[in-house]
Amino acid sequence: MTSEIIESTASNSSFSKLVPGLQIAVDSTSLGEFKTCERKYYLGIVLGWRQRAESVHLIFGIWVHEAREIYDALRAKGASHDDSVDTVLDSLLRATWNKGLKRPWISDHKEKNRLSLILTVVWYLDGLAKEDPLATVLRKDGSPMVELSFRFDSRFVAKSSNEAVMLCGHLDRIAEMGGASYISDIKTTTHSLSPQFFDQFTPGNQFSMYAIAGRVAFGFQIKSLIVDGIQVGVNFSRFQRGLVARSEEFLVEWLDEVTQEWLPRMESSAKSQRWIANDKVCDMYGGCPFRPVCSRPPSSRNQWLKANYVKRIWDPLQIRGDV
Amino acid sequence: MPTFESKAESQVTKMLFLGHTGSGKTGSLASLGASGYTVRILDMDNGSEILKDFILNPRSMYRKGLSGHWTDEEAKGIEKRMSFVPLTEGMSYNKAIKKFVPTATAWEGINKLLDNWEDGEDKAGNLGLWGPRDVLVIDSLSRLADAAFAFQLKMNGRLLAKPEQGDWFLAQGLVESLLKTFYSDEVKCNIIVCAHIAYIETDAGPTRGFPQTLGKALSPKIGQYFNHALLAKTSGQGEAQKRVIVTNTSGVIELKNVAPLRVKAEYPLETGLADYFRDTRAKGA
Repeated sequence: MTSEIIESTASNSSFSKLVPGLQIAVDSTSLGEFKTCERKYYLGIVLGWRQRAESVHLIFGIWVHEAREIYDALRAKGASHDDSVDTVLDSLLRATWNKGLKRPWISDHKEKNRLSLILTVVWYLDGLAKEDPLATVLRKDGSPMVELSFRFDSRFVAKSSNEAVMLCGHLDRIAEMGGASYISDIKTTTHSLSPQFFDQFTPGNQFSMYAIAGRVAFGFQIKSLIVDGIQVGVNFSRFQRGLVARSEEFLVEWLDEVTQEWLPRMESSAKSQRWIANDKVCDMYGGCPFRPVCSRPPSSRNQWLKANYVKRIWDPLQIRGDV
Repeated sequence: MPTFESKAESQVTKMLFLGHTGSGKTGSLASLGASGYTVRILDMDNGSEILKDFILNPRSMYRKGLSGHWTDEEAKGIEKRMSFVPLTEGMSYNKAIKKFVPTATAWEGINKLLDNWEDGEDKAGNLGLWGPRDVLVIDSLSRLADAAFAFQLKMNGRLLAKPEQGDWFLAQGLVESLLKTFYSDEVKCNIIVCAHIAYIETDAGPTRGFPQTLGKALSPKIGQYFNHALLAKTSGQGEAQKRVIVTNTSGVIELKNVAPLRVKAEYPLETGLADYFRDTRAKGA
């Protein structure tokens, strides 16, 4: 096990080179996976296994995020809305074209596919981004504060290696409205944009970390995040913006639990080289991608992984924001 | 496990103060200032003018001691302890579309003040730092809800468009979230939320009076964020007519208080809030 961990994390800058399997730069995805199921975290984050076919929801979401990012960068440079949308569309059409196979990205998802992606982005940019009341904050050099990589000291030091553990990740956008600063994020769904859709973010690992990062890493008094909810249907897309609050008291509690409980537990798992399965969550969150693995006897799992999954490094310290 | 014997009387009051327009809710706040509380009013109804005479007129009953209610010492300095911040939603004229459009800045203004209260020389800071002799008044819940709704529409770029269903429930969520904050133990000052009354038909029975807010779904839930729900109303007829604050359920309007055996069923409007605060803080029966 240990040699496999060392090999899997050798080129991953978020992992300790002193204690195999100890993550010393933890993002909300890693932390969330660990909280959900230690074995899921071990297989997906430490060893870097993932399903051969990437989740359509993940791909779709990434492209929508990129579209907004490109759009904001162009508008910050003075481009008109129409020109910016043209450029975004050009970029999306290229990104969803498989040059090797000389064909477009084919999705078997009835709602999230290439056509709905293009339509959704155009409708979204025309509807919410064109005269956005939530203005993207510009840096002194005029560049927009979008796709922001962050890292900050969690104040937890792993006793086993004396390494300081960082919290890190990437924010979509910092924006302002009425003198208040917000972290803006986009979430796509095929479900309706009901109260439950917005309720799912509180409490929520990702946004709590983002709110703290907005304060600590970027110096903004973030009290709330704003989610651009996008419902993608077969022939339509709907948009609804909602506020997701994070009070001081709430964030203090979250950070305390992370530094006093979760990070020590992550260290403990790495030290013992033991990441236990939480078999009560296999069906949750749309079903665990590693369920077929865990369903097999331990002796045959590795073989199954190699045959049905591919490796990719999950390194949250890789800086983004280079559009 | 705490016993009732060991549990001290709460020294703060989180109150829903119901009443129709003109029932005297705002004016009745003067008694709290007279009894030594520092009262800060978020005036969203533009109705604090009534307090001016009560506070500044040398003949006012609130500027000196009133036997059985407050002392000279407590009343002294009322004009310094009672203040209001007007936060009405403005309108601006949009020449392009030839329409008045809400500025939709009140919600942000409220949150800014609650985060760091700065009103001239009064720098009370974050609401969490206020103490049991401080009173925050929201006047009124209806306008607060309007401000939340305007903020929701503004955020979505829909101030001029027809609101969508989601705008209603998300704005309701904003109001509810703020009330949860007020209810939180971290808020250690007194809270009074003035509310108008909306009569809503319920699934469970006949039409009942609830605090007026946004839509119908939120109103019946408002009461759960307060331990005290009082009603300002006019009682009696003709010469016997008097304005009172009622503490027990009245007709179709559910009221509540934390000390049903200590507080009176009715208090005179002029002194009622101060007396109610005193009675609910009194030890024993």
